[in-house]
Amino acid sequence: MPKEWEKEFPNLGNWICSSKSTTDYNCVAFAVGDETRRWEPYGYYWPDGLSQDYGTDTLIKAYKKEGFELCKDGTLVKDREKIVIYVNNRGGWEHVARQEPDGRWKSKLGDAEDIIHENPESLTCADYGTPRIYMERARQQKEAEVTTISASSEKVSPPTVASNPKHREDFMRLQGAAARKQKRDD
Amino acid sequence: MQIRGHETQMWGNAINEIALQQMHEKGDFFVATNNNEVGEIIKLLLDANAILSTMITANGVPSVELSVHSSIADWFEFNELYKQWQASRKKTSSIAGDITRNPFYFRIVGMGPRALPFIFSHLQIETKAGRPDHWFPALNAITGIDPVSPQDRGKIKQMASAWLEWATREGYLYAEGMGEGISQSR
Repeated sequence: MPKEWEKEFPNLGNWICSSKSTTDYNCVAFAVGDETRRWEPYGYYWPDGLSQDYGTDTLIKAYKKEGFELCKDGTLVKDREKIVIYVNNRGGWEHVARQEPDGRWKSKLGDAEDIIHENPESLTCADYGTPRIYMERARQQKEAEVTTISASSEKVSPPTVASNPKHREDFMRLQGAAARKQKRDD
Repeated sequence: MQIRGHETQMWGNAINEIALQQMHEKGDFFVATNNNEVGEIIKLLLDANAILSTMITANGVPSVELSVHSSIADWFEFNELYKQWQASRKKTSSIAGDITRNPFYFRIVGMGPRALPFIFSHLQIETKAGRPDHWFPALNAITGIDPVSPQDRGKIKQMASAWLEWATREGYLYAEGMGEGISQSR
């Protein structure tokens, strides 16, 4: 049963657990699609040539090496892959989330699982700070093909969980599984 | 590395941490006088992640000699810091830096080489369970070396293997299979 993340993230809203719990990778790696290792300035993998610090400038440089550039916000743009860096009140980064092709956001939470959440603000909290720095690059072809969004224009509004039947279906399935488990536990 | 005291002790009914602490004050060399005491000592030391180096039954006399690679006082110090680190670390932290920038973690690092047997013992158990904890920054800081190959940096299972191999070579851990007889006697 996934951890009750609502306690940690007061603004979480609807969410779906989308992986098993693992320490194999962290949010920084996950944001660029690397699920094989942890990216961290000290003690783990860190791109060559970057200083070993937790400043946002350094993290931005790391993502620029992966083809990302700064952008204005997290508005869904067709064929663009966006990430958002969460910044604490000391100016350091705390978390990174990535946008899915359907406009929702996906995060690796600590040493636990990945979750899909509705928007970057869902994870705003004291520990993670606030989503402040957005970056984007061309979406990988493979991901672009599986997008379920049929955008008629360049920009589309991110769908909310409540308005998207597919999302509602996901939640219903999750709720059903939780209820069945609860019944078994009882 | 091996520390051996000089005191022998007859043990009464209750073997607990306090009793063990009192034992330590008299030396690091323990002799139990019957099988029940032997079992209690072994259980306690294994629970403490202490490393048992010898187990001798001489001439059928029901006594067992246990010597440990580090003093029990070091274990008490480490274990207290470890428990406090676990209790105070942020559960949602996406970056190991938040987990290791912790006063109790710093104090474990501050123990220097005395902490290594216990760190490796933890790392070995955690690795077998598939979830090595964030010991790598501490190991780097204490030893000043990094046995992990550049291509494995960030891949925590490979990192753990590299450190455990190093620990075995340096005598902090025993080769696979050793100690199984002791475990079975619990």
